[in-house]
Amino acid sequence: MAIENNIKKLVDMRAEARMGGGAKRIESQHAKGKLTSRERINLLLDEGSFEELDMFVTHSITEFGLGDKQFLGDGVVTGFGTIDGRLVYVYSQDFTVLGGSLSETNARKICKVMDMAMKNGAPVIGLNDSGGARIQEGVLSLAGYAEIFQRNIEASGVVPQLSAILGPCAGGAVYSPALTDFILMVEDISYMFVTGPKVAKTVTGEDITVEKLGGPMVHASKSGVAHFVSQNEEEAIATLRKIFSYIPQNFRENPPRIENTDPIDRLCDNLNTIIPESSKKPYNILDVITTLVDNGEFLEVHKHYAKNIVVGFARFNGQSVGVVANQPNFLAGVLDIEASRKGARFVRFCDCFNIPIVTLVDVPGFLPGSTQEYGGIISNGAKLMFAYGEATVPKVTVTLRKSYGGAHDVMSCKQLKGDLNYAWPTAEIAVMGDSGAVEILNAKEINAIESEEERAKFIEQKEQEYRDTFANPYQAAKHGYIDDVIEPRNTRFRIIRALASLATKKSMMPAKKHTNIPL
Amino acid sequence: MFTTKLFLAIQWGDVFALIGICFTIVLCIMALFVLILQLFAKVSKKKTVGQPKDNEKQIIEKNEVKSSKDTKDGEIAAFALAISLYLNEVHDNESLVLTIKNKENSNWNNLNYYLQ
Repeated sequence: MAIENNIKKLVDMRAEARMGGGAKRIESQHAKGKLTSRERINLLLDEGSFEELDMFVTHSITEFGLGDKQFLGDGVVTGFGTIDGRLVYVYSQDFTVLGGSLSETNARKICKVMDMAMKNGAPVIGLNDSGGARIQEGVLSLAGYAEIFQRNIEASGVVPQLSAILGPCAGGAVYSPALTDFILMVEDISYMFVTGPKVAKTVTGEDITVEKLGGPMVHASKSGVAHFVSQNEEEAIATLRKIFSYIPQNFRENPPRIENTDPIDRLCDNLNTIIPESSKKPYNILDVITTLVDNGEFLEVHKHYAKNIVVGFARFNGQSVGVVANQPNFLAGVLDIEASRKGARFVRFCDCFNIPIVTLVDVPGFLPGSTQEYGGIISNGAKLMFAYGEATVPKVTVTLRKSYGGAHDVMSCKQLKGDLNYAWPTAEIAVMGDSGAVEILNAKEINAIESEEERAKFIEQKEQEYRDTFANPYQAAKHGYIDDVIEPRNTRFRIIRALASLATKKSMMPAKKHTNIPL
Repeated sequence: MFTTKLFLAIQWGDVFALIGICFTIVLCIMALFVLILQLFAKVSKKKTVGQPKDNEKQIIEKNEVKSSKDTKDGEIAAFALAISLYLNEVHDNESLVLTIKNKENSNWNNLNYYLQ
């Protein structure tokens, strides 16, 4: 009889813990169009795979009336489960319990799963929905945050860390997601900022809404903090699962390889005509990417930020790769501060987790002007160069059209240890474009011609000469900077074969404490 | 014996001359066929390449006679174009066979050994 009572107590306590802040608060959460912490976990993990830890943890604070407010689990659901059969550690903040505020015990729970993830070499996914620090706990709460931050830092580059912002995330709380690899936000329900609109109004006099200060689209398009924006939570969680399919468990493992259903010898005839005859005309690089990769599937990262460079995950012959490509359809694919940061961050992620990088180059150079110079295009451009030069994963580069000046060097050129560098016959690899070069090289002759008509004719003739000499891939190929010039329609096969040849690549950087990337 | 006699009886000069004439006729027919195809291709190219300007377009639309003959001509031109494109296509053909068989876990770049 005693054992039955004991079991009943356990069952009752579990039921109580699963109710979080109670039926009323769950109803309120649903009314806001939000799922509860456990509903989110159920959506994220394989059915029946979740094992919850620390379900009966409660806080020990009695000040400010907190003694009466005890909830089993203390506002965060933690544990482990699987996604497509692969182990993952999860924490999900429960907004129905004291607004999901972070307490010392609550933080300890999160730290426990992070420590376990590090011990077992498995990714960590954080589902954030918290009002911030539990003010009643004072410095204990702040210490809790710092404990999490330290673990985020230590886990960086060891196991992948993903964060979904599914509610408020303000103050110090923003820094844990910011330290992770990818951040997802959801339209209408999530926002992130260090200081909210009220503080902004008081300190700077700026009158701004929550949405405009820290809404999903702001962070996706302006700050670049959010890598993905979803319409709803279901979509966000599906995206988390999708990202997971491209990445390995930890830095010592390779990404999962899936069975390929797209023929490796598929000729991409449309690529033979995709580059417009005029080098000034744009085209959509996404058409090239989706033509090349397996089944046209491409998971674009940072879709709304720095659109002049496209980064994301795809597969070649079932192998996960990171794709980096200039986008001629936006600002002619020029490299600017934001594009450099975006590209560098992605390249470094791929390098951390053994994901080969395929780079498609069509870059006219760096964006000129005082805004860029004052904003630090030098150090930001250097970040992308640093990231490529430092990356030891297989690097396959295909130059489609323009590759001019310093931007040519930055975009995974041969000297930055590009493993296999190909070019299409339409490639133009040179110090600068034809008009700029002629202006410099023939300045004296041009100035000496009085007739405007004759001058234009002369310039046209010189530009043509320049194009014939430099606007092709053969100068670079002559020096071995391009390994081969390939017909566009063969590109898919050539990339697949290149990746297969590089599967046993071993490359090491000299011993050091750590690099000093120009941050 | 019979075969030797037969061999000696044949006028080999005539035989070679006959073969030559036949070969020339076949060659001429083939050349004619190629020329006709090229002519079709040129006609169709003229029709397809170079979009007419707006005013030209209006004139064409005005004078356009939708007859079965026109449709037939168009079809022939399209076929001729397709044949021409097929015949004139130049490609850098590759084997498209992946012969590299990678081992699942090579000791060469085993991540446990060389990543500290």
